[in-house]
Amino acid sequence: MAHNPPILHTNLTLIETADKTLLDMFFQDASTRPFLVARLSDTVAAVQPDKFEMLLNRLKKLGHTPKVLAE
Amino acid sequence: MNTIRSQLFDTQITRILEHTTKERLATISAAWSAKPNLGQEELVAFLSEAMHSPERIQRILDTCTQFERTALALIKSDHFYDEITTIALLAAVAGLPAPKVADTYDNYIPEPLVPLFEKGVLFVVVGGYYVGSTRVSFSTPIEFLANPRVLTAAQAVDTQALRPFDLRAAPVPETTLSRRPQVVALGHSAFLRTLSATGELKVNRTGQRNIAAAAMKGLTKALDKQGWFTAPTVQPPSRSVVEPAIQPVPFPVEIYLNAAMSIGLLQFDEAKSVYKVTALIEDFMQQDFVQLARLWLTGLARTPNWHEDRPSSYSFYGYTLPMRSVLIMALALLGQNRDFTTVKHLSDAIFTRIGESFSLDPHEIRPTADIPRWENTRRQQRSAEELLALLKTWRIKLAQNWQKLELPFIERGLLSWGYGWGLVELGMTGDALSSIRLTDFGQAVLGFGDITDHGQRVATHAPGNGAVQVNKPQPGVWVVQPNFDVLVYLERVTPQQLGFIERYGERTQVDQHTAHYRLTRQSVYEALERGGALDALVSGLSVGSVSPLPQNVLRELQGWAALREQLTLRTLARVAEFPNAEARDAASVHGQRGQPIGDRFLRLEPKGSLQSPAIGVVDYSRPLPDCLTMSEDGLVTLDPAGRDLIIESQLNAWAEHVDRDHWRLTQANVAGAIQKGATLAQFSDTIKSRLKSKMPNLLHLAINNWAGVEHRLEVERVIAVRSQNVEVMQAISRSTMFKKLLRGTIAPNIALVNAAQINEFEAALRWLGIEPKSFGAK
Repeated sequence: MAHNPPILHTNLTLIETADKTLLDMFFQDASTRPFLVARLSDTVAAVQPDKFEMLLNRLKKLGHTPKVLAE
Repeated sequence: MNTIRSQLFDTQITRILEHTTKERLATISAAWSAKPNLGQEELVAFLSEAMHSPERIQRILDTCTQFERTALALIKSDHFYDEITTIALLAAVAGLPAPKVADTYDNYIPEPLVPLFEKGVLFVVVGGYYVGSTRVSFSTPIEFLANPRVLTAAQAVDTQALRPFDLRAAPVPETTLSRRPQVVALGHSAFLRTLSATGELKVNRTGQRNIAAAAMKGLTKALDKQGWFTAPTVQPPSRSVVEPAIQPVPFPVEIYLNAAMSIGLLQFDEAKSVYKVTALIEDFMQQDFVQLARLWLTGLARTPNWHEDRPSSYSFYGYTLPMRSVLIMALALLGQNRDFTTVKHLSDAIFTRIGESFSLDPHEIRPTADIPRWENTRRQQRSAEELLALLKTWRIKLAQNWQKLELPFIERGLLSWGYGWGLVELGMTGDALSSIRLTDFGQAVLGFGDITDHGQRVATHAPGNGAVQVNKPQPGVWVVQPNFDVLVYLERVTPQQLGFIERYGERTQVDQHTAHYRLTRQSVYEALERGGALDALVSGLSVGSVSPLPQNVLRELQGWAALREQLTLRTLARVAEFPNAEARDAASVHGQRGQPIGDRFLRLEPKGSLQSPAIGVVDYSRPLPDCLTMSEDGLVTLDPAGRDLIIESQLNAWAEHVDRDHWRLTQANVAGAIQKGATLAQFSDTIKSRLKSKMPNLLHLAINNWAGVEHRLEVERVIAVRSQNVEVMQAISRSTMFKKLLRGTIAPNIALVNAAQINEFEAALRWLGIEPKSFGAK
């Protein structure tokens, strides 16, 4: 483990979906795509820093009811 | 103003005693039964200990007069403004021996309170030191300190000692207006809900923490939208009721905001320069209606920057709080009296008790506060009859001024918080306020029997109209209909249940006896976001419901809650990025805790930490490090040390990925990005801002061109003319004849000629005696 130290990413905003299709949809949607900067897995992506509020509002406008958690 | 504090007593008392004059110390020590002939240090030690002793404190209290005991009870009460002169004033309004309110220019302590200072129950403190004298100059910043143990031991106000007003009963009014406690509580919760939804309130830039006009406007608009203050009034069955044409509360938003600040519901965030709500509606609504009203009243009593009546001058401001406390006391004195009284009679009754010693106008002359001195200065010029006549004239003038200044203040107080918070029932003649009486609720709120201790509220109170005794969920208070409407019966609902339904439902209408709510996906979602839970929603609805919840409502609520679980936005997350899946899995095997994401990532638990040091830390709340370099040909190199989770995708949006650390900006990629809606400003924000060195100008030009920014470049054919002799070329280029044929010079001996004019140029050279030759020709 000592030979493969990780990089620690802090104060990161993540979007997590219950299934892959939903996240695929957000990556395809021109109104949400700019907020998503890196796909970490099928269901998790990193959100562009400082764009959390804009993404939240956008998702609500699209009819979603995202659960917001602050760690 | 000179408010009385008790929080710092323990930390300050020894130092205060050490700086107390010998004479004053002796007086205080005698009151606390110190042995005679003790030295100064011994007295200080004795008093420091005695002031913590319950037995000695009780003995001191036993020596207090009725007036002094009442004063202490008023100081410990939350109902009133705890300022030294106001305390004396309140005792006077309550019919206790009227104190002479001291002239503010040379004495801050009303004389009837002086014994409390001599007994060491209260202290005057200047800059943290006891001044040893009750007389201090006007400009000296002073504080008053009370022994908290004495306040705790002091009894509540003895209502037997208070002298009710002798008021004539007014005729029964044509119409009356009052507000139910439930409707008042709806107002409280609606205010808090709107405030919570607003999020933050920005302050203006004066540095005085005043809420910005735009924020006030937005909040007022949101409250109006909810019909916040237009809830109905109680209508006695035998009479008709009309809404008053007058505005019930002059500045309803301010009064609530200030009260919310005073009781700590709204707190100032220094870092962001905004006010934030500190309590959830349902937490706040855990209290019963009386407790809720008292909490707001506590805030009101300490709200200095809202005024019942428009002040005539700035100097008026300082007297709003004492006058407001006077009115609260006057209402409390109405007690169980069920008769209506005219506002004028109430005002006159107050004037009779304090009119000669208090005015909202600080410039009002009060000779009776110091009659002997007043007389002495004039004795030589005026006879006793003249003095009496003068005094009579002055009293008439004083009463007239009271009608102009204090009476309107009392009216506005009754119409604003008195009516708005359900404390008084208004008797109306036409559109005008004619008389008032306390509501049952007002009697319960203002009753002295259970006056509150500092920080400890007593739950018992007199039963009254809607003053619910317990705050436990009551059955059968609402009907949940299959169309998601909830009909709430206000008669029996508890504050806790009001808080509950305000939390989960969207209020649509309030009638006299019922309130209507609607459960919507949005309202349920917002409630869940504020910490609610599906189980709590279902059980709370079921407990209060007249009949079992409709099945379709139950199913839909579960569906809405499940929908929220489909999508999560997680902020402030910490994610460990490993070079490969093996490294991540090895870390997990060695006990590294966290939620795996994909192959290489691990989201750390909220309080978890990395077991081995990270190779680097990227903090996304700060500007990200400069990590890119670019060459003129568009090659972008990423410094691996500055790699973060977002840079690759940002580069991919604009450039072609060459290998792990390299990308190339091409016309096709840049044009493609622009076509997809990206802008050069975004390029600047995301890519250019991460450069370690300046972008090459040529590449900058290329990117602008690829992005469609037009740069015109004109091409013109010219012929270069060179002479070996600089002087020859200078003679030519500076001559009038040749100037019109030349396009300029590019070196001292080389000039440019427009190709179209070459023949004319050569002819001119020949006239000059020079035969032009091609470059390089001998």
